[in-house]
Amino acid sequence: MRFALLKYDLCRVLGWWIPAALVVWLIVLFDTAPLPVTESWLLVVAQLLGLSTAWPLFSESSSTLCYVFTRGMTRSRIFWSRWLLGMAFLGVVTATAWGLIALGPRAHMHRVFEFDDAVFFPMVRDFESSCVVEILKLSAVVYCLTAFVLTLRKLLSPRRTSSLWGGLRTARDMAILTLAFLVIWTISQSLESSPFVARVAPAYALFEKAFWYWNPFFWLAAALCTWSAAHIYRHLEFPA
Amino acid sequence: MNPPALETRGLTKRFGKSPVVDELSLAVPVGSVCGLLGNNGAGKTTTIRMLMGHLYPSAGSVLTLGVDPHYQREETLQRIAYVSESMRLPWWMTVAGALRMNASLFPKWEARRADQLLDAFDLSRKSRFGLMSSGQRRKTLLLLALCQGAELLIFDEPANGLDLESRRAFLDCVLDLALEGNRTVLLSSHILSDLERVVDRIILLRKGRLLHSGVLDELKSGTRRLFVPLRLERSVFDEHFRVHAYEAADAGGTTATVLDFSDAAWLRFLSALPGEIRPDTREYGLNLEELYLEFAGNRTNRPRDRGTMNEQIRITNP
Repeated sequence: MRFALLKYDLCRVLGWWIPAALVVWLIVLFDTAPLPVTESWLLVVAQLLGLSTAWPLFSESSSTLCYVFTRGMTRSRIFWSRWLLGMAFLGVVTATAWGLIALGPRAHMHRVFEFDDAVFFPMVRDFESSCVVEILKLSAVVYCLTAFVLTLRKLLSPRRTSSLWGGLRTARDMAILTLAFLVIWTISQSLESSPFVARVAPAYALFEKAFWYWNPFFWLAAALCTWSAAHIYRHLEFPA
Repeated sequence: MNPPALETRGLTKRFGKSPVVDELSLAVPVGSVCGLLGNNGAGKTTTIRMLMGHLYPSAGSVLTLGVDPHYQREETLQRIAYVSESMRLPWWMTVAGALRMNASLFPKWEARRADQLLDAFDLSRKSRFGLMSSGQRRKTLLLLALCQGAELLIFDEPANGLDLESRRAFLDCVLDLALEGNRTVLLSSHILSDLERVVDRIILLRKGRLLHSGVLDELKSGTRRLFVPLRLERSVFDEHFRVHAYEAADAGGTTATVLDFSDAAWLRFLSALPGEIRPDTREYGLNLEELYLEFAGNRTNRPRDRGTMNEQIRITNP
């Protein structure tokens, strides 16, 4: 039964996912500048990857969603199956990108085409490989965020998600939430070494120091978005 | 005693302030084929969506196969087949792909019935959903539901867009399922002649409220239209029957629709009439369409056809 849903979802999304994955892999293979040049580049790639992963999975029309919900599976199973599929796709894309950098194909391509500014000392390769982890982190957060926004739009205006105005409203909500996340990220970064926080919330300071690589606010927000999206999925209505 | 397949108690749904479904209490027993009738806006689709857990009631309770539809486990969901008016398959899916998907999702999938219905509905396995006509799409969805091996089948306007042959094939399949026993079917349709062929129970709704729920044959045998070629007061009918509708024509003659009709009451009524008019006094049985119009329709919409129009012309232009 699980494979039937998996096959169904893959047929829905591969038309989007394959081009998205190819774009990431082509950038990794052929971008002549060291990756990443600026952090904004990372944000853009991660956001687009997260968006293009979540959109085809969770923007199904109400009429086909009604069909899926009556195929003998609980809504929870359908939601988590799709969510895990999306996360697996992100993992595969970033793992492949890491492999392209770390195992040598990127270096080989640059030697073959003799790019003038190609520099591939080991520390540069390690630095470039580390950016892939950042892409995975950020795209996973954007993915959870997008899934939440799409299910929320379906809850609030079920007949309008597929229209142009529905898409624009969704994009507007995405932009607002992304801005909120950036604000949260900036504030949390600045609180890292704050003595005030160390006094008031020592656990946070310890946690932050121990896991400095994993911003807890982002992951908390992603977890809340995912839980909310799952809750919405379970309680979606189909008015006539 | 087995619990009913579908049960509601005080079921209410409001969109805004006005109730679309209002204090609806009904029960559909296991093994019955039940027709859900009502005007546009009577609350049929809303009731069905609440039965399927696709809408939350504003008040009251609903049980589908004995379980609240919002908390059904997969074992229960597997036993229910549903086709709504607006349901769609993805545009890229072929009939063969849909059959494979549903065969793997439902352990009780009936492959032989699927092959028979493919022929009866004249569907090609290679057809893609996005390139089909609306009738073909509906046939595909009906086929998937009928072959699911479900114990409870719910169809909302199943015949929309179907040609006559396909409607017949669908109704024959519903009859076959009903004869197998322990399968419950709920049909909501405006094509009453189709319903009359297959249903044994009907539920009549009007403005979200229950007008009547019961066995169709009992309703038919208990409801009659009486014609007396004389202007007769309603009280005369009331003495012998439960009168549902009464109409005295200006040109003479009185028509009344009565409930709880029985031969004994009819004989008593005849004996109360003057002897010279008894031979011309008639009682008529009503088909489902006439019953529906009597109970749920606008009483000014009398059914007209070429025959009655010719009769009117003959009377007014002798």
